[in-house]
Amino acid sequence: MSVPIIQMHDVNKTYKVYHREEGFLASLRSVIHREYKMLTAVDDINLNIELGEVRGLIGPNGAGKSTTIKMLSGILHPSSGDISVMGMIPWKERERYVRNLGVVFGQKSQLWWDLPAVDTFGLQKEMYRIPTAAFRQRLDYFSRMLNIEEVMRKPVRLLSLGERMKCELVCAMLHEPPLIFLDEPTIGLDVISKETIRQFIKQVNRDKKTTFIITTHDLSDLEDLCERVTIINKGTVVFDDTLEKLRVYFSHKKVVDVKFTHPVTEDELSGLSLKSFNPLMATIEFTMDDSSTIRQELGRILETLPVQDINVNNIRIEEVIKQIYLA
Amino acid sequence: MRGLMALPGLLRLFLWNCKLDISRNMAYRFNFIAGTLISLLNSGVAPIVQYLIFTTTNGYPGWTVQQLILFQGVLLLWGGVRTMVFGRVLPEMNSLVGSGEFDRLLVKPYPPMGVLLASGFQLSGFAPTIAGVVIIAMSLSSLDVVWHWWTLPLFLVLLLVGCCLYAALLILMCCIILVAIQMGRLGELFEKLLSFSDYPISIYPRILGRLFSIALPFAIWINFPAQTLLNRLDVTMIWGAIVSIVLLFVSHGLWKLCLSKYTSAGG
Repeated sequence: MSVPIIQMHDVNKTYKVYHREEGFLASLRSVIHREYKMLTAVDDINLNIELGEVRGLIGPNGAGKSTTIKMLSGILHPSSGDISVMGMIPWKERERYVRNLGVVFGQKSQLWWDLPAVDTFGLQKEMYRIPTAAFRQRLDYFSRMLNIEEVMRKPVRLLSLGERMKCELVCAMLHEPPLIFLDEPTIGLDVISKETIRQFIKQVNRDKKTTFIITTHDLSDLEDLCERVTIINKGTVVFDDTLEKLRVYFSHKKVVDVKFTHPVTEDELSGLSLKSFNPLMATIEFTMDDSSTIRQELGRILETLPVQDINVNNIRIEEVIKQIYLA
Repeated sequence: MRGLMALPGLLRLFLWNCKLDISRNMAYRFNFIAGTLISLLNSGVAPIVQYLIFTTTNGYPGWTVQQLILFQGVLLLWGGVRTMVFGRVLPEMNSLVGSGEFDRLLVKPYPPMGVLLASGFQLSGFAPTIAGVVIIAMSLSSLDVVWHWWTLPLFLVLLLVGCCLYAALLILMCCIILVAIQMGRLGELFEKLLSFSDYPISIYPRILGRLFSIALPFAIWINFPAQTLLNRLDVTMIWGAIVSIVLLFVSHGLWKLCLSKYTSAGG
């Protein structure tokens, strides 16, 4: 039976932001008089996340993802609406709540730069009052899984970005929180480091039933880790379902790769929505409506063009997301 | 009340931060040794300058040379303790708010101001503290002062209350940073204001003396502890201590108000 760990109901967040016209004079004027605008960062968001899920939270820059995560972390309180995480109201019971929360901000480090990461882990032990035996056991488990037994004993300033991120993850997980927010955990990492971190997340999720909320711009993170994805755009949830459903979100749109037996001219394909073209190959996007089916569209191509091979695909997930962002 | 309950945990965090800061200093040995030597040299300069001023002018009313050296010892000790306990608070707050990383404090299981104060340790305060203790011990041995059983405890209590007053002022500065993001030259003004406490209260006009003893009791840092060691107790000490504690509660209330208006930084 599924147990909800996060419930957001009709959540809004508005900010008063300073607004200034461009130019030097406007800058001088702003010393005397400032204009403010109300900005709606989050607009009536409803969201449910189950215990043990790995949920992807994506959206274009400025969509409201970070504000949502900050409200879920207890950093900000909503202007209206209800949030319940693990049965607590994050901003009201912040100190008790964050004892059960791990957060990794991909571009903000909590490691002491001049010291080995293991020293920061010790500070975390003190911060979360982790018993020594449990601390040793967890550190052993995490360090073996991420292969950082040596790495965590070197000063952080000497570590690569990937090694640092592994240590950040350990730092956020030493107190074994049931819920972890990962903000762009694979940003800037090479393929191998990304893979290690994803494997780590999957294993911790499996072994400890930890719920992960991952914000990312890397779609391979989503494809590898998340069963469900929530897309936020302009402060509202525009998609909240499985990745499979996202793949067929535009099922009325198909992308057809056509290979020709001999070169054709672009004019011969006029009237079709070309995504790419060269005389021997073309990628065409079809949008089906009531009056047309894929069979009819393909029939027309097969009749009029020298087709050697043909492949019909749903539109790529990147394209789906891009179109949702642009909508 | 919740803040008081968090105190033992915050004290443990403070000790951990001390250990980490010492380890960090040890990681750069040259910097550590050079820094300690320079701190010691710096510590020696102020008493010498004060001695020269004292002996070439009419001196400070109510203070002999030996007593003034004791005062300088307390000044060094307070400066050292202040740096060791709170040295990193304002730079850390400036850096966290300036870089949009203040949120990190809000995902810690303690009050954010507590976490900030617990990370205040700075090793560079160690040398002046030691220098202060040595100067106090030396000057006391040459002064004919009656020593009571309560002298040292009272001296320590005054240092502790001094820490409360300093924490209150730091919290007020942190409120300004949180709201205004940039502190501008207010930091300099803060330092200048604090320097009023570097001289015996008796050199100021009566009204300023009252101000620094009771309303804004800077005297709690150096003047009152030095007077205690000299067995010159004064009822204004009690008022100064009460006002210091009240100021701490007021600034904490203001901090909570500012924190409730916190809107974080973008993305």
